[in-house]
Amino acid sequence: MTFQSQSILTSFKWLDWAQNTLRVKNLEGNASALTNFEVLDFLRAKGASKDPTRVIAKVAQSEYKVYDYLVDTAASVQTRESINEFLTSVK
Amino acid sequence: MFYLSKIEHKLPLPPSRFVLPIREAIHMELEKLFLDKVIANLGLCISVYDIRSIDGGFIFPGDGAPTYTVVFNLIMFRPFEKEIITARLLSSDADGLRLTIGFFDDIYIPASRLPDPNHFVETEQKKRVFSGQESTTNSSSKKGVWYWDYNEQEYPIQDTDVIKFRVTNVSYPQIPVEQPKESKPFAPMLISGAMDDDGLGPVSWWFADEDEDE
Repeated sequence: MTFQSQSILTSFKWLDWAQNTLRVKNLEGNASALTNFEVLDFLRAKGASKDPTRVIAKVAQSEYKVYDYLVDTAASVQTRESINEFLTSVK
Repeated sequence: MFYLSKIEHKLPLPPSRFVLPIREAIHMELEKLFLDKVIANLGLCISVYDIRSIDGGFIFPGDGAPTYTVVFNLIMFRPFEKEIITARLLSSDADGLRLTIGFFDDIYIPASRLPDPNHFVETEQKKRVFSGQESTTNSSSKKGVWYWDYNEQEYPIQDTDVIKFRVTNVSYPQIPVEQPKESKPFAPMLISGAMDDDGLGPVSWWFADEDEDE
């Protein structure tokens, strides 16, 4: 057995220790639910779709991974107009 | 799949950020701190959505950076139970499948939640192991392909397929203080899924079925 807690804190995606060390205070875990379309729209607004080089836009590599996933879903062909149209048609 | 989580955090702002407008500097510092990290019981942080309020800016004794109390919203990835998600196959062994959605790789489908009846064919020895049987060698390391046996046909689950699965559980394991050297890397968030229902599994199975019906 080897002691690895230091490497775990630094190299793995974990912020449970942040509850103490970084004093993260969770005010509202479910402030709102977001649809795939809304997240994709947010990433597009940040410039994820405009920069083919993926270095100029202020978008992180992890955000580009989410963008790449969402572009392959139905959310990529949806628009606010088409969603509103659907909502009025099912009323 | 995605949620907004409202969080309050005491953030020390390093002096190197002072050249930027305060809001932009704090936004960058929050991204550096939270992006692509897992917060226990909240999920994986995708992005900083917005900053609601900034208070403070006090420099504590012996500290070279002002500390701000920031209230902000994070976009979190946290699938709900019974949600149907599309993913791709990352690896396949005798224990089940491991899937990826690009930005998150710790999705596991245990062998017990695969479409039944099924069998597993090892890649190396090409030896069949049926779901009821136990293999003699160490099962955890064996790579191979799972097949669904239906109507005397074999439907494979391959890495080229887009796979639909149903989320059964999202867990946040505790950080292990000690780990054996040969153990796999610690995952702070685990998604367990199932494929034992109609319409789940590789999308190609069901499209092929529709074509035959026509």
